[in-house]
Amino acid sequence: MENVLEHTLADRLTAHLASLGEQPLAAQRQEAAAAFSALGLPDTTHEDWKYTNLTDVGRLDPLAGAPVIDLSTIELGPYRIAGLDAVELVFVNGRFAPSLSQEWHTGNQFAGSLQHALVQIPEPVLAHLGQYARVCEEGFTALNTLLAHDGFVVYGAKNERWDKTVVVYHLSTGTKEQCWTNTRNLVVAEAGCDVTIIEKYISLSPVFDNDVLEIAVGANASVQHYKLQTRYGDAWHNGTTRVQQERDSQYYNATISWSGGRVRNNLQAAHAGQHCETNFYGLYLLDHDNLIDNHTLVDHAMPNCYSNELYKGIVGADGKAVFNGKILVRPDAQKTNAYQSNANILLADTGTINAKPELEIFADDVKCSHGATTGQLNQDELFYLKARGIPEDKARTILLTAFAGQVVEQVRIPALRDDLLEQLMKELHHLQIEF
Amino acid sequence: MLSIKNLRASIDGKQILKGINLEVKPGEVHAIMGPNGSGKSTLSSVIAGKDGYEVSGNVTFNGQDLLELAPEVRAWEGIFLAFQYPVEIPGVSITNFMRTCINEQRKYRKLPEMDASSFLKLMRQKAALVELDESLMKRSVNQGFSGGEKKRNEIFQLAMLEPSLAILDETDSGLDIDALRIVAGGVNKLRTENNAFLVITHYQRLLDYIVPDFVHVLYNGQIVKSGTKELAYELEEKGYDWIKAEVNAAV
Repeated sequence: MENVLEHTLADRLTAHLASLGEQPLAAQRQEAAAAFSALGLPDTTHEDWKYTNLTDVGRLDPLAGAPVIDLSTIELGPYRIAGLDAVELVFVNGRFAPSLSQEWHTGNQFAGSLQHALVQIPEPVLAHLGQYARVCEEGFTALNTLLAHDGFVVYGAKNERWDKTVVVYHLSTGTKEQCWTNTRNLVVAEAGCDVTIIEKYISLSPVFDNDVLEIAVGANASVQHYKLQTRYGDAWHNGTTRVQQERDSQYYNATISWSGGRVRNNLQAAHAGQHCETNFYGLYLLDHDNLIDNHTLVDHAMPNCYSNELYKGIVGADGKAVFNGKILVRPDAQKTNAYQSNANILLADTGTINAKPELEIFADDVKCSHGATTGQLNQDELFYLKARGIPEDKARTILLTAFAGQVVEQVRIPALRDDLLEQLMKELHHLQIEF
Repeated sequence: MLSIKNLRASIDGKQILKGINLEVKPGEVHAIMGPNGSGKSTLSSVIAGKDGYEVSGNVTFNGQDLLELAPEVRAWEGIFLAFQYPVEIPGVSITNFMRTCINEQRKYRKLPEMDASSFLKLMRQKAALVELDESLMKRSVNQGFSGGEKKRNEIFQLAMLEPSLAILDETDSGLDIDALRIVAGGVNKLRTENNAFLVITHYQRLLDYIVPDFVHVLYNGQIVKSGTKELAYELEEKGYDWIKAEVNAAV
């Protein structure tokens, strides 16, 4: 049955491709179609997907896409971060919403839609798009490449320093028949460029987002990147972020996920030059039948690079979290320093955590460490607080806030940090009630 | 103030306290001494309200049935336990921790929240009492503190919360002589005719600085001997073996 469906889908995808005619990404889409017919969508027999069952997604029709939404019905206010000087870009079901956005284009800086970028700054876009998230590696990436209509592009030329933060709102809303979005995004920071991007995912009704973001960090460049799935309703998300770092570059990522849904984040950074620095921070809070699956990879291919990763999670009743963190140190990557830590608190017996640190080290002169812990709230800490006169529920909140706060503290934008702390308190309150 | 009658406690089916009787009045300092494993720390945990013990007997505090109260209520009623092993709480600063403790206590006593400037003034004043560096106040509770700093932090919290009954559980363990003098000096400054102290210790050393009115020897879950501070000197000189021999002979 499924084979028949997939075969039919492959045929329909080929027909879809033909209908697009001449367009800048034709060659890539062609390659993607071939890759997808070979790969299909992964299921739980794939090692990388064994904890996350996508059977439901397989039943959705990617070609049906998602409905076109009347932009006048969308109010951004509740999602804005107070006190942040930002360039705002809004995408609704993978389509650019110009009336809600402020596209930014100076000679050396661009923040706007992929469609516009292909016209206004085609060279850097075509030089990087599809180079890091390879269609041959995964069916979801192939489908995204094949079907994506638009997405955001942020480009900074050599030595450009952005004063403003780029905030990208990904809003999605589906219907029963149309509930599949593909957004294709790109960040190019040329040598010495410095840029900060906040992605906010907001789902208004059940939908499946299949997004790809490629980030090219040039020599001496620095990219700070936040991915916030903090008002994410009952939706599915598969997001692939591929980062390529040139020598002496810095990439910082903080991925904060809560409020429902089923989320799979694939975050990978690869070093193409020496003295790169990579920081991954993650926080996830969930309960009910929600799933948050973070798969990360730091690919140390060059000597003298540094990476540090800290992911923390709090899982309530019937929640399921997956952390799979891989550090790959290739034979040439001598003098690598790579650290990874994953800590989880389970609030109920019915919560599940699958923590899987993976270290693959092929160089001999390296410093690498990893640690993963899962447990309940520390009873000794709880008693200490109660013995000082703090009631049980408040003591629990204080300890959980402190636990999660260690990730939020790593947020480098004060306005965002305050916003997240406030939301964190609400989320914890919610989890505690559930508990 | 504190009246303990025939207190028994067991954990995981193992009887630790086997009938403790003790009366503590305002203004008194009682020392509880005893060999390792005699039940000293269990006694302090049970009075403070730690979970996990099966408890019977009668404990009243200012006329109230203490065993009925949750640990936080015991704290609000004026009981304070200085922990033998103070817990590290990453991510919670001492300042925020103490502000929460103070305000919860005030709420219980139907007092308004303390304003920020009075609170900071109080912190500074009490920190000076145990020579606790003010730079520690912004740090997470006990995290990365030396053994001495942790114990001084306990006495600092005691000074902040002004309990009527303070239990010091082996506060002297792990302290060098200078830290011991500072900690004991802090306690002595806090002594009044209205509050009482229960000083639990293995050695007589601490009692040179905090002079007790009464000394009790706890052995095998019972108070087997009570006396004045001279009893502590005798224990220091002769060890605990003669007490054990006496008890075993009586059985």
